Amino acid sequence: MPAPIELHYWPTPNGWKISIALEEMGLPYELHLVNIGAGEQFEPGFLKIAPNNRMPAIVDPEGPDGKPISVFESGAILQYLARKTGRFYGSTPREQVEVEEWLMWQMGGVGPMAGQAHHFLKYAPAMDPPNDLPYAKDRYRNEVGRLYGVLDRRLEGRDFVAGAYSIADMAIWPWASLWEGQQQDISGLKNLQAWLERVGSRPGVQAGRALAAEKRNQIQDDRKAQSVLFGQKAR
Amino acid sequence: MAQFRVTAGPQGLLPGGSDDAPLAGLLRAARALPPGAPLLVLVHGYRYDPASPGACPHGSLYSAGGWPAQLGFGPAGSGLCIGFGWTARAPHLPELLRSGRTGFARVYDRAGETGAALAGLLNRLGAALPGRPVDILAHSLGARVALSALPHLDGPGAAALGRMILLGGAEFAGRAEAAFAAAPEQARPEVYSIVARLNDPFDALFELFAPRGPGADHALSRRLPRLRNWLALQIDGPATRRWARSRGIALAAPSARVAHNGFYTLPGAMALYAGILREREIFSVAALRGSPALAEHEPRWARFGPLPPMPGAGLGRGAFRPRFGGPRPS
Repeated sequence: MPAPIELHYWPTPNGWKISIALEEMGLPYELHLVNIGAGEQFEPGFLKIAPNNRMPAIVDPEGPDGKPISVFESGAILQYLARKTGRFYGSTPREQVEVEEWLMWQMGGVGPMAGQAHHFLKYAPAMDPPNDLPYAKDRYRNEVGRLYGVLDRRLEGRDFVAGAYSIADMAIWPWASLWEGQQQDISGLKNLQAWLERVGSRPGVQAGRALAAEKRNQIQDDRKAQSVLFGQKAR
Repeated sequence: MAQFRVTAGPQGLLPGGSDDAPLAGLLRAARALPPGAPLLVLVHGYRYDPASPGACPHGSLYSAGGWPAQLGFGPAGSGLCIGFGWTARAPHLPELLRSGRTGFARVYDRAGETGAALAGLLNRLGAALPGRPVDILAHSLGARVALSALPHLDGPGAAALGRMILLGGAEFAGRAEAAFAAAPEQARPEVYSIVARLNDPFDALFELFAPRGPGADHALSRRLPRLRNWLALQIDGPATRRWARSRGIALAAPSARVAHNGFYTLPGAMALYAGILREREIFSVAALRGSPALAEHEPRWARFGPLPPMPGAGLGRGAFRPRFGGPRPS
């Protein structure tokens, strides 16, 4: 039985990527909640693991050389866990390239764009005073819509984005499953709808999505959390 | 403490049991809630009675392993849950002899009267916690209690009302509309009316035995009230299951044709309600109206039909002629 991996986590789409991966891979883990609304991501102990003050992060007591290793950035964690277990990362170099393409597509596209869509569509208008910015709202809503169009076309005739079910699916699903909050209309995107259901039906995805779900509260009504999350300066 | 219990009685609102703190303690706990943590009032339905050990909701539905835990209440910061008890049963025979109607009809009337006590609780919470939404999850006749509270709300109580999740609401659509019409202007809750084909026989019995009069038209499962922010969701429908699964919620298919408690015993249903309480943006009525799957409801009595055709039906006049495939000769 391997030693449990420390999972530094809060129930957000980026956090779910890793809770889903750990559940899918059957790796034992120990949950360390990082309350991002209360500013726990700025604590010195956490910054040693995740210098960008963002969760998720992990500490694996049994790293590649047998020594403990910490990993931050959800995409890097997914790659690390997939390499560690030899699962969900394709079985040939060509397949691995495909997985990486779609993993990076999520990391550089869906994640940032949907994140900004959430910010300008939900959080900014609820601030005191409100920041209701039509250009920003349209910009990110449209960009997310474009990305979901790309995903829908990619899924034509496929069950998963990159060959067999992989860490690329685990990375994209948590964000795409929140399409309603990004004010998207996916009624015409049949492949995307079927994929959302296909991935969401997996027990590992359901268990990862449910981890500490009781902590998912509304940030837009929490002035202190807004100040912590959106008041960060350059240094 | 993540959980409190109160009981509505002739003396007003009382703590639910000897181990529960008085209402002042409840308000203190509510004030100490973290921002964004849900504050929820649970209202049971027919046949529960806090005064009867065998039917007490505080010892069953509202117990530590019951609804609160299934909705994610318990861990620190997970919110505060208030179990609201009321006398929801009455013997049939004395009522039949006294008034010629069933005990259910009497409990229906009592549910309407109990709305005032629930409104008293909401008014106190609203006054003590301005800006914090108070949600309600009510089953069956508990939905009538919740809707009947609306006209009794004061300004702060009305403004506090957040989301109402009505599980198999035993109320007429016309009376729900009347309750909203009589509510203060500040009352703008989002209503999630959870319906189920599993509950069809109970809806039919409700329509048969609930007292008639103004507003007594159709059960909430049969007619959508003409109200803003009202969403009807069929919890045991295949489209809803697909929709839930695409969000990682393992909503199961029903294993029976009939169940009045399926609203909370169907695996995955409580996880869905927990999402409505905790993920306010994703599960807002406005957002869910954008999901075409949720507009797909099976027709009433879908669990019982269509009945299989009789052998030989429609083949000839009176003669039984088995059909073995292929087009019927003209």
